[in-house]
Amino acid sequence: MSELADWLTIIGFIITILTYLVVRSNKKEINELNRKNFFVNRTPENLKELKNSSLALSRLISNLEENKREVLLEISKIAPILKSLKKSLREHDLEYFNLLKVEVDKHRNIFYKIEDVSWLKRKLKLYVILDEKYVDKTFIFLTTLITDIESLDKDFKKDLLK
Amino acid sequence: MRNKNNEFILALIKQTNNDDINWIIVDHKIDLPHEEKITSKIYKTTILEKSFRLYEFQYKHYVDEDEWLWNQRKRLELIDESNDRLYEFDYNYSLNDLFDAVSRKTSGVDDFLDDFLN
Repeated sequence: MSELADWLTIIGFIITILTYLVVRSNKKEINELNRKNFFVNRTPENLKELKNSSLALSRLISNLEENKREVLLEISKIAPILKSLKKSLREHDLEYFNLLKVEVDKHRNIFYKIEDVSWLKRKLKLYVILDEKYVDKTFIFLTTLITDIESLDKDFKKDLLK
Repeated sequence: MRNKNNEFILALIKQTNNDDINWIIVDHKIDLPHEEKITSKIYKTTILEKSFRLYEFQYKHYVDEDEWLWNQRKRLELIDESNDRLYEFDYNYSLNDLFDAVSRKTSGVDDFLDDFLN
């Protein structure tokens, strides 16, 4: 009787492990389906908004000194788009997404000129100046991310027709 | 991480918007491969004795052996005195923003809108 109980325990344990593996595999597939769903339904709109930001920035940065407020507003508009876009991208598609996110997230601690930064923030280096270098870098990361997403979109259309 | 190609396109955007470089519309005959077709005016500028050409073209993007979609892209080239291509710059989305700046400047639409609305 005791031997039978031992066997049933072992079989029960094996079934638990197998169930866990099946559930984990299903969860992975569901996550991938979710990502594809986000890509199909949200990417066209996100891409359009990123392109609008790119166009607006390209017009504003030619005269940065006069357009600093508008440039900052455009950069701040990119943050929620990136949040939505992340759900559509795979880990290995995130290179320029991550680079852009680092720059865009700086907009919360940005200053128009060094004189506006408190001594404490200067000491701790907790500030970013909205200068040509920062804006150029953000623009280049933005347009490269758009280029990457355009390319992913083409590949995705190819996959859907197969 | 530095990408001189993208930095150059950005510099062209700024200099075009600030009228530091001028583009003209030209009538070049360009041999394009794979059923590509030019779908815009062709623009040319000269910087430091080098000539550059910019235009929009459409091409077939094959999604299967016999299925394709029409796509459009902008192309920036370095050309010689005979208007032959010496080099094609890698595609980056910022070429669209450059094309916007160039077509706005050469069309004179900004000046027209300023005159019309003032």
